[in-house]
Amino acid sequence: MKLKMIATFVLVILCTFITACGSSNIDHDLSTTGFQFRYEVVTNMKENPKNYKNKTIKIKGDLKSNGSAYYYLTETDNVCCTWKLEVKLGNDKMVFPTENKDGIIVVGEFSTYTKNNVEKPYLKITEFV
Amino acid sequence: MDKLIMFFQHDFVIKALIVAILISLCCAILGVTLVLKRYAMIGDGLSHVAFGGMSIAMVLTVADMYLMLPITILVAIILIRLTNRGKVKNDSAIAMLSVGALAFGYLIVDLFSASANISGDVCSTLFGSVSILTLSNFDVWLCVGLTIFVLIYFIFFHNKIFAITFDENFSKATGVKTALYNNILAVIVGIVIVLAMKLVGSLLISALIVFPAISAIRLFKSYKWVIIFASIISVINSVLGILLHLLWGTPVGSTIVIINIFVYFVCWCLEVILRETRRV
Repeated sequence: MKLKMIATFVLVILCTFITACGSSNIDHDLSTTGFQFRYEVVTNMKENPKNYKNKTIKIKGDLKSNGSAYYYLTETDNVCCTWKLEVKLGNDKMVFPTENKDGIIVVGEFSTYTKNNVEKPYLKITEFV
Repeated sequence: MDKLIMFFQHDFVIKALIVAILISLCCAILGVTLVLKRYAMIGDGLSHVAFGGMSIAMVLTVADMYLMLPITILVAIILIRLTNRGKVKNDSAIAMLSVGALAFGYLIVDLFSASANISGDVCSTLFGSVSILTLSNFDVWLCVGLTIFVLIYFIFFHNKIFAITFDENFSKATGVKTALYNNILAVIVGIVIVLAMKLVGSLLISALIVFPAISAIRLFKSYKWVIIFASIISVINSVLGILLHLLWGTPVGSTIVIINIFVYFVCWCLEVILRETRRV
């Protein structure tokens, strides 16, 4: 009886590991959190980019563009706070949606580039969810 | 539970909890002294002055602590001296400085700030909606250093603080340097107010100073136990406030204040129950 219980326990643990192996490789999933937490994470990304560099981020926001090649994700809450994060396409085969998309979820790799001696954060989109 | 684990993967959450514990500890200890000396609203006035200092820092694009701290400490010393000399009544002095600094701060931010999101910055500073979770490493270490200073002062001079809190005139008559200790208290108040702004914002600071003290006074008559209980509930309320903010997405400052109000209500009910039980 005892042996049966131990065997069942080991089997359950093994099954848990097996199913977990198939899970996504997203480091930070911000698509299910509230606005406040997304605001805080994006702010911290800009303050301490090295903590998030090369990490895979899944995030929800409104995709906007300034008309030319500059695209960004943004979100504003009921009161007044707004976060904004520049996004770029991960490869040449991808295209941005033709119209501004609200509530879009994207998966991408966080990185930075330097412009005018200023380190600028951005998300390299690998997938539109 | 999984959600909480996910939040704790971000080091800014750990930093926020550490700083919140330190700040709420300082506020509770200081709050007991301020409430008993009837200086409770000084925190509110000074927080508005600190907002003015922060606004100047925003316009000049320097770290806000470099300006907020000295300005707030200076005004705290002036306020306490004005109060003691009786030239201006306590509440009038606080009102003058409070509204003046708030109006000045918002005016210069509106006119001169280069920030892309002025209303968001101002809102976050006034109500502490997210500021505790957007701390830099410099902010954290400064907070740790200042908290150690505040705690050392209260530990080594608790007898003198007790004396000038309950009977300043008698303390003066027995040779205690009340002016010196009041000036040090003013410096401590300035430091704690500037730190507490990061947690609950400029407009809600009084809650962090007043509520733990008055909740403890409801249940305990001993000065020592009031300090201990106020410290414990202040820390628990702040940590709980941050956790609920993470789970429910509510603004941090308001959540912590609402929890403080609820705990005060519970302490009040407990006091009534205990009093009725003793009567029976």
